[in-house]
Amino acid sequence: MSTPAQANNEIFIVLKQFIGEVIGQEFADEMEIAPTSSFTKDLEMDSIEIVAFSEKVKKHFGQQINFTGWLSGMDIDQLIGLSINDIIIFIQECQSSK
Amino acid sequence: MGSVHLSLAHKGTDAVAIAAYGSPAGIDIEAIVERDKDFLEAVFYPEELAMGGFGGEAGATGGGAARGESSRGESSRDEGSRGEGLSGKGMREEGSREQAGAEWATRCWVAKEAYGKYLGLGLQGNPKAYRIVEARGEVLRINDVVIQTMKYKNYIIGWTL
Repeated sequence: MSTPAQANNEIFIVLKQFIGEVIGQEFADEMEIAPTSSFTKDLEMDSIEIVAFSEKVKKHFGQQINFTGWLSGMDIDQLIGLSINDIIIFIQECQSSK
Repeated sequence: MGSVHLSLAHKGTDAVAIAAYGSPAGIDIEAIVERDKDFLEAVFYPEELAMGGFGGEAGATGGGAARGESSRGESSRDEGSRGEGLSGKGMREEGSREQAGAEWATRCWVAKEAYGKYLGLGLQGNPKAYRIVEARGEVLRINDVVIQTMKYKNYIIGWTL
């Protein structure tokens, strides 16, 4: 059994890896990617990169989460402010409610 | 009525803008790089890719190649210099077909993005919410909005008319 903090960190590592795959590992290595990093402001990801990233998230956690539905419910300001932590919390909530 | 609408987009250091008087406008610019199969399936309807002549066949041939190149393709923030290298030598036939497929998919992406900006909504987290219903050369249509696209350097630029 893993603690919530461990599970948290495991999700973060997976998400960080996906970010590297999408923007390029060499770019990702140059950035200090933290759970608090926001996708648009801190990581400078644009919409096509965010969509590619979400596809990887969906594929990995697909059975457990309704990622598209969750994103669709957000307004543009929420999407712009979206951080890695927001996604970690969302995934954890989905996992713990199963 | 009577107000000026602006739309801006950039990729890397290149930027585009459009201004329209009295009606909304949307513009987008995106680099032409190959996308992997998962991305294409998530973003486009098969019919949209088929309009450019890249239907199921692209998926069949693209599987292995696209997977191998996907991370590099998507990572090419600086105008895909690596991508050019990949398709440059020894695989020109296949490379040019893949390049044409990447170009068409990018055209479709740009059309959806420009349409979303025209509406003032963006992609709403779901690119399939907007469906391309017609394509005539470089001119695409989503619902009743016509989007002009053009290739510029290694980019596709598209804007609502």
